[in-house]
Amino acid sequence: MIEENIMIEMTYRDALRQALVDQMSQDSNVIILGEEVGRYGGAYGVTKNLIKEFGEERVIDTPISEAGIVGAAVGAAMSGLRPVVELMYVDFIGMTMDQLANQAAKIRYMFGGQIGVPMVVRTQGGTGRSAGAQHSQSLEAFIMHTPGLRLAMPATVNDAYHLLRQAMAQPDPVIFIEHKGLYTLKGEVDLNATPLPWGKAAVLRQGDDLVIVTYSRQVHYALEAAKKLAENGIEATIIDLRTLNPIDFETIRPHVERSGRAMVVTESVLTCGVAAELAARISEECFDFLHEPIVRVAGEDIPISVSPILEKGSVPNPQMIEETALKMFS
Amino acid sequence: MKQLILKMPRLGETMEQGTMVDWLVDTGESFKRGDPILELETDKTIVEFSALGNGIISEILAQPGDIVDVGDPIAQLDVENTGDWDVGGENPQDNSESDVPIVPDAQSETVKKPDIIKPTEGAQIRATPAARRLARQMGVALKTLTGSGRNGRIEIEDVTAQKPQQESLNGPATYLLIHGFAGDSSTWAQLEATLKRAGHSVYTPDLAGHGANRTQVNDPEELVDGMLEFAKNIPRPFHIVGHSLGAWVATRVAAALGDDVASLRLIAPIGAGDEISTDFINGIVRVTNTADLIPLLGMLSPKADTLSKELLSEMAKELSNGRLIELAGKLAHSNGQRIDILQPLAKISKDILISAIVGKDDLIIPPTHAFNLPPRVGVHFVAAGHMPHWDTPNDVARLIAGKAYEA
Amino acid sequence: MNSTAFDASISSGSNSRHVELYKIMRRIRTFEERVGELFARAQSAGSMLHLSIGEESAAAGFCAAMEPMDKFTTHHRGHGIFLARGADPKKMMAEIGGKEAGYCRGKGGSMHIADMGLGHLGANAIVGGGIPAIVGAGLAARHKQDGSIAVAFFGDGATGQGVLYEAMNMAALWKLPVVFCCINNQYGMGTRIDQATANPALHERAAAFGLKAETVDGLDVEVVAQAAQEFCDAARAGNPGFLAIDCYRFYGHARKDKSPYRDPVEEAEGRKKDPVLFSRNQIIKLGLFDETELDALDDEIAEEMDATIDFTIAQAEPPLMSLFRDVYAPSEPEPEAVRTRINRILAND
Repeated sequence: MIEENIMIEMTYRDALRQALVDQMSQDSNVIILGEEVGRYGGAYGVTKNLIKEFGEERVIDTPISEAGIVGAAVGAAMSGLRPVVELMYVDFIGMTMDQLANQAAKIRYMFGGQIGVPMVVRTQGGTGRSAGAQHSQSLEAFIMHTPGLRLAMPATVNDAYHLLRQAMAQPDPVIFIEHKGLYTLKGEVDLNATPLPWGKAAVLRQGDDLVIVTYSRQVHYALEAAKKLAENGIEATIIDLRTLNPIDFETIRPHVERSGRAMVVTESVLTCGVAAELAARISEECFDFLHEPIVRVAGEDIPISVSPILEKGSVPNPQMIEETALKMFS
Repeated sequence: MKQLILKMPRLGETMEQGTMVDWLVDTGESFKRGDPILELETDKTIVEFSALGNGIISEILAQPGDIVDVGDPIAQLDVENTGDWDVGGENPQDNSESDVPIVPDAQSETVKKPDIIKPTEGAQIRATPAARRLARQMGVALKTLTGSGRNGRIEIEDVTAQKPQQESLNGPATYLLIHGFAGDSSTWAQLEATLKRAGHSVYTPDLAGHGANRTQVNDPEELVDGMLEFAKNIPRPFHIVGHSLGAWVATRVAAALGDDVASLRLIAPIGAGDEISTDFINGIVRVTNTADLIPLLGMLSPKADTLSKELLSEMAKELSNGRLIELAGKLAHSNGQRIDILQPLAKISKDILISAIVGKDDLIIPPTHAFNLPPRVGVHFVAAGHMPHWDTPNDVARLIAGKAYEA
Repeated sequence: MNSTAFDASISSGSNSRHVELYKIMRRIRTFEERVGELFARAQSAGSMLHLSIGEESAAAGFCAAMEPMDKFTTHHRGHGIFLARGADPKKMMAEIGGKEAGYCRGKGGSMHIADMGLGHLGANAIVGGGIPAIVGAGLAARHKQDGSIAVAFFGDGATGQGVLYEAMNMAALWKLPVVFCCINNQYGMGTRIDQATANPALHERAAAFGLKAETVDGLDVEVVAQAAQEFCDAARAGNPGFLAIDCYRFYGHARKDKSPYRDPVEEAEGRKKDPVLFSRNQIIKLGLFDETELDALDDEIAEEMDATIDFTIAQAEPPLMSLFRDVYAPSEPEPEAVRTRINRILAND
């Protein structure tokens, strides 16, 4: 069979949907479970029309019972299906935490390796829609704190497609956090291309002066800041982690060793967060090469407000990344 | 039937003793494996203890209400098979709690004890990790560098700039060692041997009025003159190391010789503050016998009590002639020191590499005087008294000659 | 002796079935007594051992109605159910002893035991934690059209957990081949059901979701088995249900600890509801076996269960290197040990 490489322009949302369609067509054991995933088409439209294509036995509208849905996915995965749960907002993950942290994450280990729980929980987080304190959080650190759960957070349209397809083929439970501010992002996807392997970080820009390690929407902010920095003669490397479990430190290492300056950028809160973990790893692994403290550009340690101006003030933006970088060279 | 002593069982890892609640089987009664025979209270819960084999209670040794340590006898049993009653270990939870260290990687199975290296310098210096690493590799002391970075932070470039000056320290060199008040060249014996073993040339003259140098001395200035005279014959450039009063002499000599001096090392220098132990100074010059000397030497160093009787009596004899009484009066009076090292040091500190080694337990001169030294003088605090070159000779050798020395 | 649940699915009410169910219950009781002994011998891994003595009829009776391909989850008091489904008592005891030869290589222990081969999707140490998995197993059964059902076994304590009601609603809504089996031993740890539950008629709650719902008395295992058969048959036909089985927990919450929170009179009365003794008397009454024959049977079972202790003591501890195994799939790299990491970072090279 000759596979043609054709670049198709689509949105982040459509790329996610396409990944679901392709995986469901290929594997009849894939089912989708979630609130409003069927007739409504998903709160953010990712599962639009899937129910028409695959039927209500495979695209299942559920009651508003997050713990029950995730628990059902655990049992389905242990019984040979490959469930994909849509959790409407990552903020609701607290409702599901027993099923995720005590069940899905530990079943393979507790049962001595007898069985795994191959399931995906698709959800979305982040700010940008004035959705307020209970619908705008970045809770990836909750997941990173639980061994046994994989975590992927796509920044690009290409990853929205390929990373989701990879997630659906993983042997272990994957939490897949989309960013609500990226659904309308347009980009080119090559559906037939061999993607970067699962667990590998992407180097999106190369520069010798500074490394910015980030993921999800902040990747775009970092790229924007890097353009401005280049005008000031500062060349930054931008690393998109893509998956936060596993973390691909080996891609980060040579860039930090070369430049001696590292900034970690995340929308999630500062304390005990993703940035804290990354900064600790960089300082341990690359200590001898550092010229500056590793700087964490992170979400403020506060809840998110509805007011657009307050919401924007809660999380990093391109200007903050740029200004921080300039200070590292002052 | 075989006799068996039933001991207080350990039920749970935290149990150290148990309270007898009730015997469920009386003396003379038989029981079968699995029958509850006893109730115990431990960790605030009452637990039934079931028979581990068939048997009869022949005598009850602990009564309800008794508090019994784990392992102490509570009953005498006649049992069919004593093997039934073997519990897995004296402490049931020991095997799961594992005293065995968790060493998951095969490499560290043969754990070799690491050499403990505690850097005594650079602890309070602003420097980037990258600069520290380079300085370590080059053997450059951070104290000797000026930082050009944020808040005076030492950066890579600051270390690279120092490279040539520092490198000269590592080859064979010449050292002039100047002892302290009431001492003589023999106080350097260990350091001198270490430096010579490393290929260096070492000079250890006696100060005027000290040791074998019989020149009568009434004023400290005469010590400087005598040393300058001696130094005429030393090949240039050379390093000077001075201890205590010798540190002041060394500073004056360095100031006079300028570029001929490669570096100046001050050990427990005098003259950087007011306080000094007048008990020691006035005592040492008035020693008449060994018994006078011992407590004074004890103030100098904990190692003083390892000195031989012969050496002590020779020192006492040497001191008993009172030839240093006059000089002592010029060094200190009842209000403190009369010598100043700070002014001459400040003058030369821009041109000569200077550092100081101070014992943090010095009983003669307070170690805090080191804080008064000029900013460019690097200070190393070491775990020692007034005689760091006795108390921690390898550290002193390393700080002076920039390499690690084995004892 | 190799009794399994499946021997018991001989025609309901038959003479041999009476004996088979008695044997299963006796095996459960003797096994759990030996679990207590394992602890007394300092050979159990930990002290979190929850005995179901007094509740044997629920396990033996319900499992008699299940088919080999059926799936189930249990609570933390689930030794009996697993045995009734055909578990190997040696592998169970070894697991409770934290040994490599156990069902879960010593990592699960009493409260996290499982065997995919027997459809046991896992015991659970979180009250109610294993219930919603049954909804998923039911979805999978329907997806694959394999005719199996899935059963969630849990105690009365779990009826306080919200996830039970989420699961019951979904099962009823989607008409899944699922049964919720509540073994009501009257106590959630130290709290009696009437101190924790406004309406102790638990099946009424399930009925409100549209589930087939009933409470039966657990004294007579035959009554339990008949009710279970009705519920399993209904579930297989797409009518999920909730069956509560009333029993009495003979001992304390964990191990054989005394229960100072219980009235001794109540306890003495409760222990009279002994399903094993009841079944034994029935067998004698029906003239199937006499006392001597039953004693011989009991001795045979005792010997089998004694052997589980010797087996467990003789087994090896899990290798230390298994610590990092099975956090993720075998195809994935194992997590780096903290010590290895420290040694790497602080290496002098």
